[in-house]
Amino acid sequence: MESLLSGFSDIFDPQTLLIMSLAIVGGIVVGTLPGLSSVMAISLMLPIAYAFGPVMGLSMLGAIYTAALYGGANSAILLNTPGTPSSLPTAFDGFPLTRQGKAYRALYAALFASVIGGLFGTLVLIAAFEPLANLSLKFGPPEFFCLACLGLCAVAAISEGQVLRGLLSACLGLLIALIGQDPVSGDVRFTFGVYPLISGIEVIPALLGLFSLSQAMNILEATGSHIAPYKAEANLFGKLARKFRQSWSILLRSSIVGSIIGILPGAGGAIASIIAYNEARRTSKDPGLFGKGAVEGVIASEAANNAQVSSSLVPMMGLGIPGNVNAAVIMGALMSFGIQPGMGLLSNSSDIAYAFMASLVVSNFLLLGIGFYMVKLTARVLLIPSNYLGPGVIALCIVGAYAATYDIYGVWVMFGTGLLGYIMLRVGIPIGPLALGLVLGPIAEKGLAQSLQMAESETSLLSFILSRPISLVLIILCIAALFAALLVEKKTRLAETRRKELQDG
Amino acid sequence: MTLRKFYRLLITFCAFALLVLAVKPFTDESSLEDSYPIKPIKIIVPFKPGGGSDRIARVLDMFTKEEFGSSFIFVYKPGGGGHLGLRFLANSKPDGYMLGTYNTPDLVLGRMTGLARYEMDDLVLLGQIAFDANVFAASHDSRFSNMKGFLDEARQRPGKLRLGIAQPKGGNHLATLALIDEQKVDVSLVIFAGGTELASAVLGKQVDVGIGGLAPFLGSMDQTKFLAVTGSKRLQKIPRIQTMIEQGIPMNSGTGRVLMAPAGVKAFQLERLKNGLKNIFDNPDFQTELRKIGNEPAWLDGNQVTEYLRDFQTQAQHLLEKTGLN
Repeated sequence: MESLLSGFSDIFDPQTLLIMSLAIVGGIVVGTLPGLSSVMAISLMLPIAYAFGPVMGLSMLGAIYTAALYGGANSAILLNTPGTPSSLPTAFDGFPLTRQGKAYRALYAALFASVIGGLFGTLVLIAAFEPLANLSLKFGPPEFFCLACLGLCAVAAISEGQVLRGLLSACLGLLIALIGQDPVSGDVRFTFGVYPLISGIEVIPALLGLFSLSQAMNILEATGSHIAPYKAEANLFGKLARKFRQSWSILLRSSIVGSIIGILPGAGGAIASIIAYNEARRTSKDPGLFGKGAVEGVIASEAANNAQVSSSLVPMMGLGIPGNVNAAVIMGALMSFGIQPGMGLLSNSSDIAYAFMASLVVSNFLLLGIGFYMVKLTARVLLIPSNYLGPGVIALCIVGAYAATYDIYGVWVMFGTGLLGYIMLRVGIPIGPLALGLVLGPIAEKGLAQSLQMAESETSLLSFILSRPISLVLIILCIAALFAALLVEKKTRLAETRRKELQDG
Repeated sequence: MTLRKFYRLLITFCAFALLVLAVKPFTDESSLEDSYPIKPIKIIVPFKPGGGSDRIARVLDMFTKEEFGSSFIFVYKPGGGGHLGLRFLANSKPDGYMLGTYNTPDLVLGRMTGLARYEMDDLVLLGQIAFDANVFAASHDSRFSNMKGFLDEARQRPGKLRLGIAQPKGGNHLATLALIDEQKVDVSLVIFAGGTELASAVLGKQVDVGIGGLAPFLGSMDQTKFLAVTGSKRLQKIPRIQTMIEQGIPMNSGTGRVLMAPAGVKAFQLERLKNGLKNIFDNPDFQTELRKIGNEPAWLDGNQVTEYLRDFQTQAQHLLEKTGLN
């Protein structure tokens, strides 16, 4: 506790706070721009972090990471463009809210949920990163396979009322995810002789195409002058405060889901917000609103998304095993300051470790303050007339897809998936399930393939998976999620009839 | 009036463009010999940021400003086990401002396993800056104390032990297949997507033993038991761990970290790059920094690397056919 307080006193230095504030602004901008990712920003700033020294340098990197993952919500809400897989569910409800002229409500809800989730995740990191890092080791290939399946169960939820189309879309996503190298044999499949496809369909360009490009074409087709009305709501914060009070359980649950799943190396981020979203929908009184503009959906997705920022650092700090690319780059920075993350981090370099964790807390408060003012700026995107915004979004897609892969190949992927997304919009097949398949497919496939290899020393795959307690629990949860989807559908119908009755009466 | 203005603008523009074209050769001329490099050099890391290759390149970059006048610009191009980025390097303009980093023996394995789409002649090797033997690692409470014990048990209980490998179709994979073939044992191989994934699988006991680089284990040394080192000599960080050869098992493999440029780079540029790289390598601070992140400095010049790869290739060819990895 004392060392944590001294960590805070290291951070409360005017220069450090200034650098962190700038990093927050930069992070929000990078996160908001489609295609630019937190990894890019962090690795770009590495040399500068070296020059700043450990405390200031690491606080800056942590601030960028925090802000960039929040920033993804802005483009998801305003332009239906999830910049990262983890803000995918934010777009499901955020963009419908924008179309209804409630952009501010969604943007502020995303900000507040991000900050609350981020603080929760950071507290988890501070309280118990060493034991939690060891917990993350309990997740082997079979568990990742089951977890990805649980994430895929969300397909049932987001394609309600059009199950067949939803499944079609999800299967298409899983098929596209098969392109590239087999995860365990390394053999090349389904590339049809196009060599760059060896690395698979890159997720970021694909999401840009599926969501943004198809949306941009839609914008250009539409007759309206703007994509959505830009208006300030009366008593917005009063309404939001009520909303947050009502959905405290969603907030808490999503933060917990984000923190726990975020810890798992490799797969965490993408799955966390999807499962949190699905959970929020399941427990909602009016699940039918989800996907049509439920603020709760935005809250659940963003709370989980930012809770996993800090918790994704758990295995890196506890074991020296980075859980995702962001953590890997931050770990590289730690090591070049002469600090070996992992065992003994708290005994050898506790001052810097605690200063870094304190900086993550401070980052979230800075994010609240700075984000609050930046929301007003970002929402001005809606003031741009459609005939400028459409081409603008297309240009951003091209730049983003190129930046994400540093190759023109990314741009082709973006155009290809964009065309696909446009066609799907036209024929009324939901895009969400395809994106889920694309993001979760590789995790599920690798988990299954490795499980099969592991099961070679057992009697059978099924008995092997069922003999592992965590897998067993996850499988039960999968089955429960599917049944819950049926119940939820019933609940939706009830809520709808009630709404109709109210309208009639 | 406006039309005339437009013409005037057009003419001014053309004149300016001509001027630029006329001056450009001169600036090229001035970049000759002694002033090279006049701008930052890009380095292609064919993996994700934060991985082993990235860390080594970043250590190198601590000294590039002093040597070449400016730091590297990092370009990450992951995919195909690194061969995608290598092809990008092989196809890029040989202007002396684009380098790449990769590993041996994977560099020649790519062609043989069908993952690579470039020829060795498309690249010119500048040198090797580090050579890392692999380690066989297990969880700290593992019942095995060395690899001999593991192989003995594997012989008695065919197919019951799990051995994790860090990357499909890489040098590591091939060396392990060779070992299994030679020792006539039957183990279940589990293949992971990289060193860090392997490390968490070893610590989480998903596999009995895993083979990979030492670096990912540095943060969890108290939870790891090392069973053997695959190189010709022991590693400084774990001096008590025997090599495979010491345990009576003939296995000598490892990962060399090499730098290269696309073929066709001018001779004086090549000379400058090679010398600069050697200068950095000879700096004791560089070697200290490299050891800090768990890698072993070891110099080979371009020709020596080529020779090593040629030897490897002849040995590997029949192994690949035998093990069916190609």
